Amino acid sequence: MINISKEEAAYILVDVNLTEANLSHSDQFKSELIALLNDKQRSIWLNMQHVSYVDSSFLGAMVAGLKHAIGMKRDVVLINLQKDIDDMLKLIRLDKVFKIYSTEEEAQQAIA
Amino acid sequence: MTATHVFTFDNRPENITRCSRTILAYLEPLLTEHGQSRALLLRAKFIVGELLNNAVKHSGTEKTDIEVNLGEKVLTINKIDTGAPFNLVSKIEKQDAQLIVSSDVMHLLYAIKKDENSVSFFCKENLTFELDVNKLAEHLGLLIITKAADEFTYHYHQPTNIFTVKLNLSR
Repeated sequence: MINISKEEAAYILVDVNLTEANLSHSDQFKSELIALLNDKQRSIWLNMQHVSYVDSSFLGAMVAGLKHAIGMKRDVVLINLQKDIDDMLKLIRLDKVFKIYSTEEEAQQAIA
Repeated sequence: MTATHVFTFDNRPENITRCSRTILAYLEPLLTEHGQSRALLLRAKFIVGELLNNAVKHSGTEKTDIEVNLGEKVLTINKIDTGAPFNLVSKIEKQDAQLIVSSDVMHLLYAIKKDENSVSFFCKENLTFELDVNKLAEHLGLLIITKAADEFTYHYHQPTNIFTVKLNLSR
């Protein structure tokens, strides 16, 4: 469901390989995200370019992953959001919670 | 132009996507013909997805009906099942009394009793919050529906639960 596409010193870039990210994927996604945080001890940058829809369960899993990361003094960053996902995040104000960038390069300039 | 259709969902999580796509495929040409924006279709998509989620998590039945009605001024989406009632109706005793359904650092979600068998949901945003991610809610379904809808109510008429979502159509 999530695959590492790049490992940097400060972060792991991960592709989310879903188009419809919903209840049927949320538990597995949360487990994989938390396991990756524990294993790599680095921030996770989620490349969301293939995801065209997220529901509340998947967003809840993303928030749970973020809480875990913050507890480790790391972060979960969102890259390449499609407009519908961006609109969903804005609707429930999660755009104020997650760091969101259009590209990995933009994130590097902002964070690194 | 008006149209009504009932879609039956089998409450299986693996079929959420298929059912949602079927409903949206029905709605999209109707809303386009009605001159509605893509933003309204997107709100309907969020709502349908969350109603199906709610069915999987809470209905406790083998099927849920999603009834879609496109009127002249309002798009109405009803989620109908005969599962256990949502206890909000009995929890709030007096008409017009309010109860906080959920809260976190950014939102307060309320239910207000409309009559003996109905509640309506509304939400207040905390605009001056200090972000503490540990105080963020992870259960967001009712919040999403409330914020995406123009009106969101729950009605219990034994043995039937009806969640009703209304979206105002632009002229």
